[in-house]
Amino acid sequence: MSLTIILFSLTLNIIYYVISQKIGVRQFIRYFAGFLAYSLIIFFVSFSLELDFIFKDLVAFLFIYSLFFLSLFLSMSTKYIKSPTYLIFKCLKNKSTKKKIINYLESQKVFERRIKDLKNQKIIKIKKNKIILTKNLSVILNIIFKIKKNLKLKSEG
Amino acid sequence: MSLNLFIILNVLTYLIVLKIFFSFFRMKYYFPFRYADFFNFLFNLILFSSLSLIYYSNFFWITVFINLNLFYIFFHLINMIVTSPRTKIIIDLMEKKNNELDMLKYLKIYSCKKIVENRIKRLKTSKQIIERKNLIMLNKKNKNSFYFISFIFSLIEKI
Repeated sequence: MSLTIILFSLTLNIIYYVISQKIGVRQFIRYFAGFLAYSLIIFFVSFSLELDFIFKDLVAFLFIYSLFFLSLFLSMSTKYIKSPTYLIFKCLKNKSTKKKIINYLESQKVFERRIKDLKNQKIIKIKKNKIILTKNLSVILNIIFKIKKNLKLKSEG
Repeated sequence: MSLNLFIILNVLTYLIVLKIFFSFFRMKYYFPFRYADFFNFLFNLILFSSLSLIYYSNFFWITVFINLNLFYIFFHLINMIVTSPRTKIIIDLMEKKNNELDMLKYLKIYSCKKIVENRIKRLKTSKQIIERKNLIMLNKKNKNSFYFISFIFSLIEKI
């Protein structure tokens, strides 16, 4: 029973992940809204097909289903924007100097791409050379900020 | 105790023990994992999977996967906070009174140069790279974990 729930929720999440990547959903809000709609459809289909194993342990199913969603969502950003560590690793396949690595990362527009992505996600806006934080995703950003404060982490970048 | 309460207790314990382990281990690494993350995961996995074997044997695997997911999620979230340039930009903005930054001034304190310096410092601390006479190279003794991470990155890209 336990393994059926795990496999079912993982498969459903992978299907949603693959479909959303194929149709190019990159914005968190769109990804999340799509996920809610998809989950509702799954819920009604499961209800009409009388998939008892879900409803018998609904809380366990919903919990593991949501955790798989978060895990897959967190893997998404590495797919579109290459991590600077990965780029450094590529540089270091042959010996390199710090200056060469910096030049390589600059040629890859590491900073500009991230600013552009944050703008596309509507998390920031740029006005008269000023970066301004919007109110979008403020709940999620506050959670991240609280984790940082609570664990006394230093954001080095 | 109901199953719902058991799951909630698992999550709360995960958070509380993570905080305790972080104040104890701080940012000590066994690349690519932080001690605090790893030992917290082991602690919760052993505690709650044993409890589930005693009280909810049907949910043993669910308990294992809940803890695996929590480990992965917190590992990612903490990495994001510490190392991600996008999260740093957002946190820097959140720490400003009006939630705004002057782009030109900001670029002077945080740029590609700073990103590279931070990463080189971290990779040197975790002994993944070595620097000799201004030349930076992969530490062959430790290259497996770095190669493994790079493999994971390229795998995610392909999915």
